[in-house]
Amino acid sequence: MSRPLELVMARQWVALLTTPVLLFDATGSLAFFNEAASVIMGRSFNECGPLKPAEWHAMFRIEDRTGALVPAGDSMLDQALSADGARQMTLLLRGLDGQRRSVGLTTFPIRGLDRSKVGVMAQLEQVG
Amino acid sequence: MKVTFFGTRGSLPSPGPSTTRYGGNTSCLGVGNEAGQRLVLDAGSGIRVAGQTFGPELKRVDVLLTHLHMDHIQGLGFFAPLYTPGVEVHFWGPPSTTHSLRKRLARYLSPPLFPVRFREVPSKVICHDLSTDSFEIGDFRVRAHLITHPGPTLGYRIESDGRSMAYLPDHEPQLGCQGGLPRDEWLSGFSIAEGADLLIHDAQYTPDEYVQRVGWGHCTPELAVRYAEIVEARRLLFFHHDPGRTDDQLEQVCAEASALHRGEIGIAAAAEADTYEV
Repeated sequence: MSRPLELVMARQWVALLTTPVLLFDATGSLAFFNEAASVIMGRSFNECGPLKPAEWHAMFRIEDRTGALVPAGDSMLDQALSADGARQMTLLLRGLDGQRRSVGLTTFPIRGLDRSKVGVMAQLEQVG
Repeated sequence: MKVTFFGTRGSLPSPGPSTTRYGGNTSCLGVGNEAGQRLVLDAGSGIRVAGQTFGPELKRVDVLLTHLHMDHIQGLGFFAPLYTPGVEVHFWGPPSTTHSLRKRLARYLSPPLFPVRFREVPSKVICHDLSTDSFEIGDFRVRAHLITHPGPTLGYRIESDGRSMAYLPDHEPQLGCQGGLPRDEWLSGFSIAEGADLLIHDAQYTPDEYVQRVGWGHCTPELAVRYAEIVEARRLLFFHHDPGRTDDQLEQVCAEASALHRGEIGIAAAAEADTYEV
């Protein structure tokens, strides 16, 4: 099956940006991130490919202040993926390069022409 | 299935001595199956002739619109079944965030653009707003999917008699793609065109023209060939010919693009009045 066109166009657009962006599909899978985001994620998208929720949780650890892993489904990012509106948050993210970073995220849902939610776009910014 | 071309031109009708071979009418196809059922694809100026092919026994006709740019609806007011009392005319077309398909079509079929109002035609008009949908019309299985073109635009896959055809008359799959067309689910229209026995695809611009018109929603013959290779279509027909392209120029463009293909896809340019068995 094809991806929804709204998501296809979003991917093509963010691939051209130097703003770090993650793209999640409607199931919460990490469908794409651009080269700018790969610096924060610690690996390029081509190296890790599309990731289901359990997979990206395992690969890109979201940690609390003590360094403990926030369980899949419990993080602010998980809540943002199921939210109807935009969200802003700061997370401690350990990328695949082993580095722990404080990352600011702004997320917003992508709604298609039929008003269904086809995905979520997340803009990243390293804040510490 | 049998596919008949009533209009193959893009953007603007282009009648005249230099376009007699491939025709000057804008997008319209008829699709028939072994059960004798028929669909009409798009309502460009070619739909006037398509409408004349229906007999007095007609009770229902389905018109599948890819989008509402003028070259795909400009023939609507001259579609004879619209003026036949007792006939159901079903229009299937892309969605809008603000107006129904009926309301958008009525913008054109109303003064000052047209003397007859949509609501005044004597047939029974039924409009269906589509997005990404699969449905059946008689023995036809139809799949619609949004594709890359300015404004909401659908591609259609039609299956019947164990065969399939894909219709993507206005399509710019290469827009924003870095490093060539994707080969998978990220390719616009992939699920519509995958493995189609017949692929009818936009090939409006030469590569030189395309450079000046990126984002206008159209494709080159060379990229259409590449697209057909990726989706593994069996036959490719170039469509939506530029209104400025003469028959001789079109044949040259088609030959140059076809020469790039090393496989077994049959490639040609769609010509008005031609019929293909799928």
